[in-house]
Amino acid sequence: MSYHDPYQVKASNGTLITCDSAAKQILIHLDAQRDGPQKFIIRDVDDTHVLIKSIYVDMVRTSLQEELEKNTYDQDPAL
Amino acid sequence: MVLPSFSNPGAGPADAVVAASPTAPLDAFLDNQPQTFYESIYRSEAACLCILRLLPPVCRQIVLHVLWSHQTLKSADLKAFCGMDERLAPDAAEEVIRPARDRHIFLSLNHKGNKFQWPLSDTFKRGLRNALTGLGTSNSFGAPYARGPRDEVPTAEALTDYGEDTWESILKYMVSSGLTNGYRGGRPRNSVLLLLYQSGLMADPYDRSGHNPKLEALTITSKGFQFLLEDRQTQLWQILMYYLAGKQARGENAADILSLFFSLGCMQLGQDYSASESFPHMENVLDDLEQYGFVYRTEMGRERGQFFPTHLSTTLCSGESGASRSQSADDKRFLILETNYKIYAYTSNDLEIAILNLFVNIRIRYPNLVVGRLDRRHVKAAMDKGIAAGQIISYLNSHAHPQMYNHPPPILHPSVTDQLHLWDKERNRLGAQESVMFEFFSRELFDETRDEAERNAGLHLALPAKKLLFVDPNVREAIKDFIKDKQVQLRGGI
Repeated sequence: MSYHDPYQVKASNGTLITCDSAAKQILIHLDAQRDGPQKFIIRDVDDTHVLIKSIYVDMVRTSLQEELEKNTYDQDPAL
Repeated sequence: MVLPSFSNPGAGPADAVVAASPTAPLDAFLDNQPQTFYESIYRSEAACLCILRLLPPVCRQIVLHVLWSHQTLKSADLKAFCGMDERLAPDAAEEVIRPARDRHIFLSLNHKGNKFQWPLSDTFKRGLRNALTGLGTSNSFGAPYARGPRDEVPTAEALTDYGEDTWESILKYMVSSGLTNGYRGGRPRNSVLLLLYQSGLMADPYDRSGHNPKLEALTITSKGFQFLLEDRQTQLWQILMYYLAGKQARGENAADILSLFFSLGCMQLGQDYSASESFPHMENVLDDLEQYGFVYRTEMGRERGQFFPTHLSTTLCSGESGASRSQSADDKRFLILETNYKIYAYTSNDLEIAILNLFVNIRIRYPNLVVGRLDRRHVKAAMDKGIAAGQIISYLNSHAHPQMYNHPPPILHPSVTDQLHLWDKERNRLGAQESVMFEFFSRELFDETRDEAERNAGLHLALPAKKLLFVDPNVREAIKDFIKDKQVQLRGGI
């Protein structure tokens, strides 16, 4: 099959993540901090979708939660 | 930026469940039964009466209208009765009596000449006529127990207390099983725990195989939390339906057991009944129901087959969900929620406090008042257990203090409900689905494959601008084959 075949189709397996664009930016940031095979993003699809490797789904969820927790502030319970 | 929509928060699936009628579990069961099942439950007069009560008012009116008539219900009559256009097709008119059709009270539409009519089920007609006139010999309204002069009789209040205590102790056990240092007194009987386990309301977290759970180690599941927030009558019917399903799985006749539930629903609080005459051969079901607080028996009564239904039983089929609440309406309305997330709960009921403790940070506890605050940490912890924002909101709504109604609606301030929804959204910011990505160069091939994926109901996402297609892994092979065929066709066309 030549590279110039106009009917060529490429298929890749993964997990399609649907999220808001802020969360997606965090995912891209997390991915940028990783190297080589540790990277999880297969394809940055659009503003609200990203395709990642399926084995990393749970890891991505927890690291996103951690990242979000860093940016939430509770009212001081003593108040 | 994709913003969450709060324009119609009531439309969430969790809210829809909560808003459903208290007999929804029963309805779901009945909807799946064949006609023969109805033929056998309508032999019980009590069942006929209860099913009639569960119908919507217009339907009930129509059934009663034709009950004593020698004529069958004609579609022309029905249309005149409901003020519908007389040129309407009979099928459209049938929608009015759809609930009664579903319960096989009216049999399917037939026509004599050019007249369309729905015959009334003979068994139902006989049953309901007997119920209204007091004829019939099936004892389905219960046979009073022939009481001796010195037998002690509990008062209606004592029966209510007994039913309430037994039921609440089960719920309390469920609530406290989720806590590490919860109350561990009053473990329900093993058969009750087994039912809670089989229905998925509780699970053993250490049981990897899922086959031999330790009944002592059961803890509440997310389904169980949702169950706790339901109102009382929904809970009762749900448990009864789980019980019925369990019995059915063991090959027992569901119709007989359901008739027994309906009979209990028609009994009177404070009256004692004879088990052997009311429910011949069904005493074991009464034994089981006793453990949930549906019936009360004295030591002597157990030997002689005497039993008292409690208010849990007698209000099962009262139709009015408000009237059936065990507590009076005022008792239930004890919560004041302020816009600063502070909650004041005027209650001393341990169960209510335990439920509040699931998502409220309780700060102060007085004998009749609990003060706490909805904070992020506690609400998120509750959400991790599987409670949705909609359920918390509907719980707060249904328990709002009368004082809360003095403000303009909505009862709960939007700032609080919105925040709950936001916390809920925060929890699932990522939607994930296994997917196969296809990248195309040809627009033609992309369009055709997208249509094919849609036909196979496996399309996740299509981006025409980038010619990217995401499909379900289940249809991957089918789509690959399709693409190969198309490629051959298209290349051949060059």
